[in-house]
Amino acid sequence: MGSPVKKIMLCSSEKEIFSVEEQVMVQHSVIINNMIEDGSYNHEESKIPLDCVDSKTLKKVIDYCTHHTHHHNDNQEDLEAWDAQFLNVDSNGLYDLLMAANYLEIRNLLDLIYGTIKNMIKGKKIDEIRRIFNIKDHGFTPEEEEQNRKEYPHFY
Amino acid sequence: MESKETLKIDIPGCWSLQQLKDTISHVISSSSSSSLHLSLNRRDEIHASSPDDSIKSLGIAYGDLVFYTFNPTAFSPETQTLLHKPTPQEPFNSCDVPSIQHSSEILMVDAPSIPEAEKLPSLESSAAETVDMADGSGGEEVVVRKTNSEASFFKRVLKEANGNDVTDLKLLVLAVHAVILESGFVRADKISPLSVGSSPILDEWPSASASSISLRYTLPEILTSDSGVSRTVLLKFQTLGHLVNVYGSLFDDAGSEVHRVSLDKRKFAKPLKLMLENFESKDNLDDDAVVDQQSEIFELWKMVKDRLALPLLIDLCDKAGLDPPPCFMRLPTELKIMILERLPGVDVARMACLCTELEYLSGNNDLWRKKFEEEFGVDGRRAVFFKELFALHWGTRKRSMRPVFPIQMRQRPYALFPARRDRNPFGIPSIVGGDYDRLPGFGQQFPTYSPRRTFLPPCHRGGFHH
Repeated sequence: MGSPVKKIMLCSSEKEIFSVEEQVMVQHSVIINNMIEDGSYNHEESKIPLDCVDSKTLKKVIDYCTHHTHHHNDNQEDLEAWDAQFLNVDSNGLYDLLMAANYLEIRNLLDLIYGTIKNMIKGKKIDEIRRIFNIKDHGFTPEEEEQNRKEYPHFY
Repeated sequence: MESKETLKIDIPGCWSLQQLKDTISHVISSSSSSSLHLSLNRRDEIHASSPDDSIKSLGIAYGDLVFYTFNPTAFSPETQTLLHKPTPQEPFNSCDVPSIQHSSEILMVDAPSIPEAEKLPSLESSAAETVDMADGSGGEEVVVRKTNSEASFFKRVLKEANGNDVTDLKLLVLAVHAVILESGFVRADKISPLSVGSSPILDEWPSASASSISLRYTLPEILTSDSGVSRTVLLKFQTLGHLVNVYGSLFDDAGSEVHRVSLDKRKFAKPLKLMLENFESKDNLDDDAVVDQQSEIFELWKMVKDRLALPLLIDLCDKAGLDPPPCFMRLPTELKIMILERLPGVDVARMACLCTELEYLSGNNDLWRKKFEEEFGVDGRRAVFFKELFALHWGTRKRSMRPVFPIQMRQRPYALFPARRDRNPFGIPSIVGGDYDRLPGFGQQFPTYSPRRTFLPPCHRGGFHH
């Protein structure tokens, strides 16, 4: 304590640079933790390029990590409420987050997103899930589709 | 006495039951075919309502195992015991495909000891059936029907190669073609790129010895748009030693990114050939071979999908000003599979109905192994096809007092063999109540492919176990 908070630089696909407390990212992202530990990150000059993460998503990810670092002592209910609010995004946003969390290996966030997707599917009718996932062309022949309907009537 | 000998018989599907019996009795040098009793599942004897009924109409299909016995009471309910190693039977030649030689098997089962002989139910009326099976912990006794379960989209395309003497290159081209079509592309006609090319690829092959070929694809949305501009993507296949390099880029757009995959003929040609042969003959391959083959095919599919089809799809949509492909489908294969892994078995079955790609992905054998072990807490290491096993256990879970296995295993429509009777002899009971009215029948045959480990991204070591 007392020493200035160490920061690291993250660079989004749009080349926008985000400066984040090192501790926040190290704690959540396995990848960044590894980079810091094996010394491949140079605090003076390195930027961590995240070419597959756009600025909007990266900002969300940083929000998530920051909140969970600083509020990890909050009671469970508050955290869950925050998470729910956090994931209140459209499905494109959700998948972008998933890809980013996967890339950075942020396990809590991954679990959170998987849980959300699981709930999107659970108990739903096929047509409904297709709508949610925006699947317009399912690729089945009419016969195959008919056969599926016959065999899994409770899914439709 | 029981013989496990399996006879292979080639017969046309239009034969009558009597002809089949005559053939069998001839093969086994028996004097009388009239005392011969046949069954598909060793429980229900096959009865023909009329002597002229074709065996096809009785539900015997090519590749089926037919059990026969001279004991008139052998085929009756409640008689299956583990004494009899389950299985095989016999097939017929589909009349529709006379040129292909099929071989078939008959498993000889002679007069099992039967506690009570009951009236033989007719094949059609047998619904819920009773079969003793070892549970998963027994492993080796588990009877799960072997399946030739490849993705249907491969079949549709590969059947083009049927009967032709295709080179490895051609096979790989067809396989890539299948994945591209499955991703939503259509082939653009060579001459007028604004219409869908319909001629078989093989007919357009430059020359028998050509080592490269180019194919153009577009999207149905582009064809129907009024812009008149033909946006297409170009796939170029080139042979380089044992490699087939596939380059994909936007056509007429020098600046566009070129996506490339290298496919090793030595690695992929063999499983593709095997798959092709499977269309023609259902000779039982041994399970390991099937699983191996499917894992290679899956690898091929994944490479082409993630590195060629999806990027090209995104490029083309971008260029043509179309909406990008659905966000969920744009996820890399790994992530889709991780999502499937998190879902309960029922929802995996649900996902399989969404689209052909998810159908293929959710057929993963290791995925079902995991589901099976998770949901039933049984170690099924020795079993081979886990989805079927899962379905079995699913069916029995609620009725553990009775060894009833309500499963229906539909074979995916077979390229060469028209839809027919449920291949699973055990039928599916139409049970109402309990879980049966809300749970899936698991009727669909999921393709199995193997080591899921190979497509775990390096990052999630164990991360999805909690």
